[in-house]
Amino acid sequence: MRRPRLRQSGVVLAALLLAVLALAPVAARLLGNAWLLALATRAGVFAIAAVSLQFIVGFAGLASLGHAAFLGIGAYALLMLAGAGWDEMALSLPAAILAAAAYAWPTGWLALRTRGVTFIMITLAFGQMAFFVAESLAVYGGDDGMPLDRAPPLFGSRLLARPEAFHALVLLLLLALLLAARRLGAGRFGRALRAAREMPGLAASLGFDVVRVRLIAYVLAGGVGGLAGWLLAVASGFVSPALFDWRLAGQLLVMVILGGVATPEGAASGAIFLVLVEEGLSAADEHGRIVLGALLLGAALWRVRRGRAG
Amino acid sequence: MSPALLLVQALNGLELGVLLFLIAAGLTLVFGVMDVVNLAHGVQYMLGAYLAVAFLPWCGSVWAAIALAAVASLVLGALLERLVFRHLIGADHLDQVLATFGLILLAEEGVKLLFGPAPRTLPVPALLSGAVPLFGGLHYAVYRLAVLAAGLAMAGLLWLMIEHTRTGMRLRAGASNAPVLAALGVDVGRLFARVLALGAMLAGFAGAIAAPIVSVDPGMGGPVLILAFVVIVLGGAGSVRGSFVAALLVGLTDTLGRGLLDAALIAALPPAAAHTAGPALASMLIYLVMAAVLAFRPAGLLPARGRA
Amino acid sequence: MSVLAAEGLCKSFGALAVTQAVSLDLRAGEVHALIGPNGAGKSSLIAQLAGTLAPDAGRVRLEGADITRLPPHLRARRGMARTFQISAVVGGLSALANVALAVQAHGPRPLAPFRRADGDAALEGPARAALADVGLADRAAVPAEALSYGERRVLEIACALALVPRVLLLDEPLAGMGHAEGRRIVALLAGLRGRCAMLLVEHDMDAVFALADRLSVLVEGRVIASGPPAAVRADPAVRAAYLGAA
Repeated sequence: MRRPRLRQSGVVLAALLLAVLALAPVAARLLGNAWLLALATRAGVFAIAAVSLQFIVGFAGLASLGHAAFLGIGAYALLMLAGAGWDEMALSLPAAILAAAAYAWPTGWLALRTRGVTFIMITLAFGQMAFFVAESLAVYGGDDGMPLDRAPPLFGSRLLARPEAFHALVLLLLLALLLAARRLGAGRFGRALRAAREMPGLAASLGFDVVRVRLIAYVLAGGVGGLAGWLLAVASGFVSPALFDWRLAGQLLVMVILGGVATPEGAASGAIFLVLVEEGLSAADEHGRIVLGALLLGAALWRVRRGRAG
Repeated sequence: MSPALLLVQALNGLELGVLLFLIAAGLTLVFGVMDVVNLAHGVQYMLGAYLAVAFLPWCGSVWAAIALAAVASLVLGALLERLVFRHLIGADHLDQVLATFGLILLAEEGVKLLFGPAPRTLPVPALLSGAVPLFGGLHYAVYRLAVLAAGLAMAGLLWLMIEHTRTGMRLRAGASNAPVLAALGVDVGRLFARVLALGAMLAGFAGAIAAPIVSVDPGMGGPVLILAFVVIVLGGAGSVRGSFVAALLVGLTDTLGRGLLDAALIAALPPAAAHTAGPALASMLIYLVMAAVLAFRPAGLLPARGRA
Repeated sequence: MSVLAAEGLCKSFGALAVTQAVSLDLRAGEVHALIGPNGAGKSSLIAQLAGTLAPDAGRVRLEGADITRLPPHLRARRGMARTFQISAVVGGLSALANVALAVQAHGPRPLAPFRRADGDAALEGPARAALADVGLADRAAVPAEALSYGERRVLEIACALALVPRVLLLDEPLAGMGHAEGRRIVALLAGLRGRCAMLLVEHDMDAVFALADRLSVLVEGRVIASGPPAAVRADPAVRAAYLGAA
C-alpha cells in the first residue's frame, strides 16, 4: 500500500512548490529583487507547458519531442494578432490555443501512425518544421524574432502590464489546469486513454477507437501548449523561433520525466524544480548547464538501475 | 534555373545526402536492432568536427586531423557505450531520452568551455582546394566533390561489411527480428557495443569532413540529428539500405527542391508573395515528403525485411 | 443463418501460407470449436475474424454484412467480442472498473471528459451484473493485477459479456490453467450457451468435447474437417493428422 501515500506526497510537494511561487511577489518586494518575481512567473508558465505534455506522455504513453512547436505557435499567434492590434487577451488567448491545436491535429494524425521511438522522431521532425517556418517569417523578425510592444490588454484594461497581476493569472491558470487534468484523468476519457496506453489491443476489442482517443489527447495537449506559449510570450515580452527549438521540447520532456510521468502535479513539480535549478545554476556560473547535464544523466542511470532492481 | 545551376544544386544535394547517411547509418541500427533512443548522436558529429579542429595544430595536416578525428570518435563511442549506453539497453524510452539529453548538455557546454562559443573553421586541404569548371561558366569546389566521394566510399565499405561479415549478418537478422538474435546465442551486448562505436565513428568522420565547409559550433549537431531522424523514418528504422536511399532523397529534396520551388513560385506568384512563401515552403519540403511517406507507408520506404 | 462467416480467407507471410481458403460459419447460439495442432494457423484465423490482421483474399461477414475491412473497434460496436490468448486486463484498475470500461465503450458518451468514472452508476450497474454472471461479484474491488490467473481469465470473459455480444471469439480461454480452474471456465461457458454464438479455439480436448456443438479442424492453414464432434472424431483424416497424434 505504498502507492496512495506516494501519490499524496506528490500532491503535497506540488502544493508546496505552488505556495512558494505564490509567495514570490512578497519576497520580490521585500528583497527589492524583481528578478525573483519574473523567475516565479516563468516557472509557473513552464509548469503549465509540462502539465500539457504530461497529458500525452503520462496518460497516453506517447513520448513527444515536438511539444515546443505548440508553445511557439501560441506565441506567434499572439505576435501576429498584436501586429494587427488584436492582442486583447479574450481574443488572442483562445486564438493561440486553437492555432496550436490546429497544428496538432494533422501532425498528430500522421505521427500516431507509428509508436515508440519512431513517434519520438516524427514529433521532433514536425517541431523542426514549425521552427523553420517561423525562421522564414521575415515580417516577424525572421531568425531574430520580435519584441511585443505591450502586454496584451485584458478586456481593455492594462492589468497584465503589472508583473504581479500577470503572475497571479499564471498561477490561477496553472491551478485550474491541474484540477482539470486530474479530473480528466479520473473521467471516462481518462480511463479510455489509460486502457489505450496499457492494453491497446484490448481497448480496441472493447470498441474504443484507440488512434482517435490518442489523437484527442494529442490535440488537447497541443492546445494547452499553445496557451503556455501565449503566456511565455507575455512573460518574456519577446517572440522568436527559439521557442520552437527542439532543446526546449527536450527540456519540457525532461521536466515531465523528472517529476514522474504518472501525474499532472508531478509534471508541474518537475517543471518548477528544473526552472529554478537551471536559472540558479546559470546565475551561479556561465557554464552551469554542464552540471545540469551531469545531473540528468545521473538521474537517468539511477532510474534505470532502480527499475532493474525492482 | 539553368542546367549548370541545376547540376550544382544536385551535387550539393548529394553531398548533404551522403553526410546524412553517415550520421543516420549507425543511428538506424541502434534504433532498429536495440530499440534505443539516442538523441546524443548529433553530438558525435559535432565532436568529430571539433576533434579535427583540435588535432590540426598538433599534427599539422588536415588529412591527418580528419583521420585522427575519426579514430578518436571510435574510441569516444566505445567509451560512451561502456559508461552510458550499455545501461540503457532495454530501459524505458523516457530514461533513454533523459540520459542522452543530459549527454547533449554535457557535451555542448563542455565544448563551449574548452573552445569558446564562437564558431571555428577547418581549412580545406591544399591538394583539394580550388574548383573544377562545369559547363555554363559555373565552378564546383573540388573539396565538395571529395566529400561526396569519401561519403560514397564509406557507404560502400559499410555495405560490404553488412553483406559479407558475420557482424553484418547478425545486424540484418536483428533489424528484422530482434528476439531471434538472442535465441541464436548471439552476444547482443557485444554486437551493440560494436554498432555504437562504429556509428560514432561514422558520425565523427562526417563531422570532420564537413568541418571545412560548415561553421563548426557547439550547436551544429542538433539540426543534423533531426534530419537524420527524418532519414531514418523515411528509410525504415533498422534499414541501412533504406537510410541510404532516404538520405539522398532528403539531400536532393532540400537543395534541388529549394531551387526549383523558388523558380516555380517566382514564375507563378507576384514577387512579394513569392519572397514570403518561398523560404517558408522550401524549409517545409522535406517534412512534407516525410508526411506523405508516413501517410502511405508508415513503416518507411525500405523497411528492414520481416517488419510489417 | 450464420451470425459470423469466413468465406475463402487466405493469408500468407512471404512464402508461408498460414490461412488457405478457409471457410467457416458460426450459427446463432452455437458453440463452434476450432482445433488444430500448434502452427495450424488458428491464431492468424482468429486475428482475421477479429480484424487485427487483414486477409489477402476472402471475406468475413457478420450477420450478413461484409466486415472484411472493418477495424476491430467497429466490429466490437457491431456485436463482436473477443478474449485474448495472452491475458489482457488493465492491471491497475479494479475488476469492476475493467468491466465498467467495456460498458463505457459500448454505451452512450464513451469519451465524456469530466464525468467521474469511479462510482458512475450507469457504468457500474451493468458491470456488477456481468461480474455476478461469471461469479466474480465478491472480487469487484480487487485490482485486476492482484487477481489469481484463473480469476483474471474469468474477468476477461466478463468484460466481453458486458458488450452484450452476438458473437464471442474465445482464443484459448483455458491456456495456462490448472485442471480445477479449467473446469470452472468450462462450467461458466456451458452456462452462457445460447446467450451468444461462440467460436472456441482450444487445445484442451475434454473442454472442446464438453462444449462444442460443432467442430472444425484446421491443419496447415486448411479446414480438413467440419461437423458434429462425433463425426469429426471418427473422420480418418482428422485421426491421422491430429487426434491420433495427440
